[in-house]
Amino acid sequence: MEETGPDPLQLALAAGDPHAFEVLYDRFGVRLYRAALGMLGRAEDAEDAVQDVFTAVVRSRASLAGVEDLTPYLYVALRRAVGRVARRQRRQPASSTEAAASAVDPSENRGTAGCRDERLDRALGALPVKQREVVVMKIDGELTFAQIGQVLNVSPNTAASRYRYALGKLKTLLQE
Amino acid sequence: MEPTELPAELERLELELSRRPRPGPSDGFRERVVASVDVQLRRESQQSGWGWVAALAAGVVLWMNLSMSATLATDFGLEDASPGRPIEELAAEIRTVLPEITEEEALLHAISAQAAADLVP
Repeated sequence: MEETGPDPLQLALAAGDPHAFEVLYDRFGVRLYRAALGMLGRAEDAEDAVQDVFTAVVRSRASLAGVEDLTPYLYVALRRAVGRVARRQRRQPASSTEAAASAVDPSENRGTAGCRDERLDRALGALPVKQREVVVMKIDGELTFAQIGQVLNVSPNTAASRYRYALGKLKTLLQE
Repeated sequence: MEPTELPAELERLELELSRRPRPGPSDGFRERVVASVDVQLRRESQQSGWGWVAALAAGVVLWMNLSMSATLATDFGLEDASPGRPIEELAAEIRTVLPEITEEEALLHAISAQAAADLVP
């Protein structure tokens, strides 16, 4: 089996190359933002969390060269940042349906499909944190179950089960 | 059923979730993140630069301290060149050790040796 060397992006990040951080943003920024939005429910809080992730990555960049997979590494940092932002704002991370709804522009006339999307976001916001973060990481963060497992420190099967259970709960919430 | 497999109705829900419009960050957010990374990197490199200067300064102070101690602890044999001795006598003594130098040179060396003797505590 061919052995792959360290990711050049990780090496450039570890060396403190500013351009590498732009590449990192282009590769992960929007996905991290959407995942943060799904967890926190408010656009400005999500941006704060992503900003915190980049600050943390700059600070601990020396260790990046040895990281096996950058994706779970960044989502672990995102979870910490989400926790910090939630504490800073003295608010539960998007536990209310109101918070989830605030992620959607209410002035936008989105028709029947738009109503359904709004209901989906509200239902997602009403899920318990542990279930919501699995859904958000899978759908908005586009992580595999193996990567989610690494982030949550559980096996890929546990992550998959938690995801399925969360979708089941979401379906029930949408039927209510 | 494998844990990663979903029943049909949950698969539909998953598809619906992934197709729902998901807003991106605000305009200029990328630039803000990149700018703040730049500032952080620059600040850190400046701090490490000052750290190097501080280490160098500490090294210089240590070197001065050690050489001062070594100087004070070294016997340069200047006791004979005490301020009370006549310069001419000292010059003559120097000429006996170094006969190849002129009288003027011996006199200059004698003056320097006596000046150095004044510095020795």
